[in-house]
Amino acid sequence: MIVSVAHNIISPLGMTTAENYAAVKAGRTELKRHDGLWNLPEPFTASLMDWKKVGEVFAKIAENEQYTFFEKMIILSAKKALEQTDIDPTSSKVLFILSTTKGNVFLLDKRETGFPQERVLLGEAARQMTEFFHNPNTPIVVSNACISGVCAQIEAMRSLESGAFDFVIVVGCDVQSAFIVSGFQSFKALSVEPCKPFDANRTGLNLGDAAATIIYTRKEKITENEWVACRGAIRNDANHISGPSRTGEGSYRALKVVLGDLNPDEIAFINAHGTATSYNDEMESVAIERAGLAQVPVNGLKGYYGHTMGAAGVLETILSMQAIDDHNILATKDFDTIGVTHPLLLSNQNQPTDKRAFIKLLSGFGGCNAALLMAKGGAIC
Amino acid sequence: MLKVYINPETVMVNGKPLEHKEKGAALLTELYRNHIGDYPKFFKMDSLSKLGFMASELLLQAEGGQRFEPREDRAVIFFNKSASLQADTAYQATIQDAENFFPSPAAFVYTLPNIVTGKDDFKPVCGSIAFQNGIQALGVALHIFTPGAATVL
Repeated sequence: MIVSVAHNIISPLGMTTAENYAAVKAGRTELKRHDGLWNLPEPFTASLMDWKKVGEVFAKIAENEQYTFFEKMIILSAKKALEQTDIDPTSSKVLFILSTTKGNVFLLDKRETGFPQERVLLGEAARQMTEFFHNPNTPIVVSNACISGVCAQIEAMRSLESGAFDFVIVVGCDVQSAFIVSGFQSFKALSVEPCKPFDANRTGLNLGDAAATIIYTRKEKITENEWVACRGAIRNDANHISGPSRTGEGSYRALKVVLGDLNPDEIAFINAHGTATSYNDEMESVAIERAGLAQVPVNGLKGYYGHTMGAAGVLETILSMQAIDDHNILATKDFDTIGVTHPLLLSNQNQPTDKRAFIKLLSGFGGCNAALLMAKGGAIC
Repeated sequence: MLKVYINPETVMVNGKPLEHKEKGAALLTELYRNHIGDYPKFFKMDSLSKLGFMASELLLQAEGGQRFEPREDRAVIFFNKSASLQADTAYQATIQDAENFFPSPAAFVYTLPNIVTGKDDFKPVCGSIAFQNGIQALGVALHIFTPGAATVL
C-alpha cells in the first residue's frame, strides 16, 4: 500500500502542518483585501505570503537571490517534510513530483529581470528543487489546472506501485501574481469579500499563496495510525472550456471509482473543492448527491486559504488527515445558508468524528475532475 | 497500435504521409478543412489545442471509432516541455501596460495547458499531464502507465 510518511504546509497561516492545522481549527484566515497591489486597477481579496519573513527563513539554507519566491516555497516545504524522515534525497530511488498550475509565470512580466527567462518553464523551476537536494532524477511536473494536487498524488501512487521508486516527494505550490489575479478577474470569478463556499450568498473565489508537501512510500504491513492513499481517479467530462458540467458528470464518475463498493458510512467527510464560485459548488453538490453520498458530511477549506491552485489538493489532503487524527471535521468558514440545489451536510463549526477515512475532491477548467480516497490504517482500501 | 505524427512540415498517420500544401500553423487549418470541417470551435482554439485536437481527430479517424462519446476505457497522457508558454506570453501582452490593460478571459483560459486534453471529441477518462524534457518524460510515462492501467485509474 502507498503510505504517507511526512508532510508540511507553508502558508500565510504558518510554516508547519501543525501551525496550519491549529490556525484552521481556530478559524483563522489571512484572506485580506488588497487595493492597488501589483498596479492592478481593481481590488481583490487574497491570502498572501509575507515575503520578508520567507526570505529570513530561507536565508538559513541558501542564498535568497538565486531563487524566485515560487522556488523558495517548494524548496522550503520539501526540506521541512524531509527533515522529519531519514530519507536520502540524493538516492535514485527518490522521485520529486511538482504540482503547480502556473509556476514562475510572473517572470513573463517585462519588469522582472532578475532571473533567466527559461525559469518560466515548469520543468526548469522543478529542477531548481531537485538540484538543491542533489536528486539525480528528472522531476515530474503535473500541471492539470486546479486538479493538479490530486493528479500529482495519483502519479506518486503509480510511481511507487511500479517499483521504480521507494519514496516520492509530492510538492504542490502556486504563488499569486498580476497574471493570475487579472485573469480570474477577467472571468468575473473573484469575490472582493472573503469567499463563502456553498453559501447562498457566495460571490466567487479568492486566491492564495501556499506550498504543501507529502512524502509517500510503499509498504506491505500498515499500522493502524498510518495514512494510506487508497484509490485515486481522474475523469474529464469535457463539458465546457471554463464551465463545470450541470450533471457533475466527471466529478460523479471520479467519485464512483474511488468509492468502489465501500459503505459510505465509513467516510468521515468529503473535503470538497468548494471554490465558492456559483457553478463549481453547485456542480459538486450534484455529483455528491448522484454518487449516493448526500448523507456524508462535506467541508471546504477555501475560506481559510483562498484557492491555492497547484497546492490546494496537497494542502487540503494534509489538513484532512490532521483533522481525522484529531477526531475532527473542520468547519467550513463563514458558511451560513446552503446555496446549492442538493442539501449537503455542511457546518460552520468543527464537528467530532470517530471515522477514519475521507475523500478529497477537485475540479478545474477544461472539464477535469479528480477524487482521492484516503484511509487511516488502510483496512477499508 | 495507431500512430499520428505531426510536426510543422510533416503529417504521418500510421507511418504514411498525409498530403498537404501548408506548413506550421496554416498546416493545422488545412488539415482541419480537409479532414474534419464540422467542429467550428477549432478556430477559437490556441495553437496547442489545435495541434492536440488534430492529432486526436486523426487518431480517431484511423481507428474508425465514435467521436463525442464518454469512454471509460480511454485515457490521455499529455506531456511537453513548455506547457502553455505561447498562450501565457499572449495573455501577458494584454496586461503588460497600465495604459493598455485589457485582460481577456478568452486568452486567459488557454494559459492552462490541460485545456487541450478536454476537447469534446474525445472525452477521456483522464487527462494526465507531465511537463519535462522529451525522452525522459516518455520513460517515466511508460513505467507509470503500464498496459491496462486505464481500467484501474
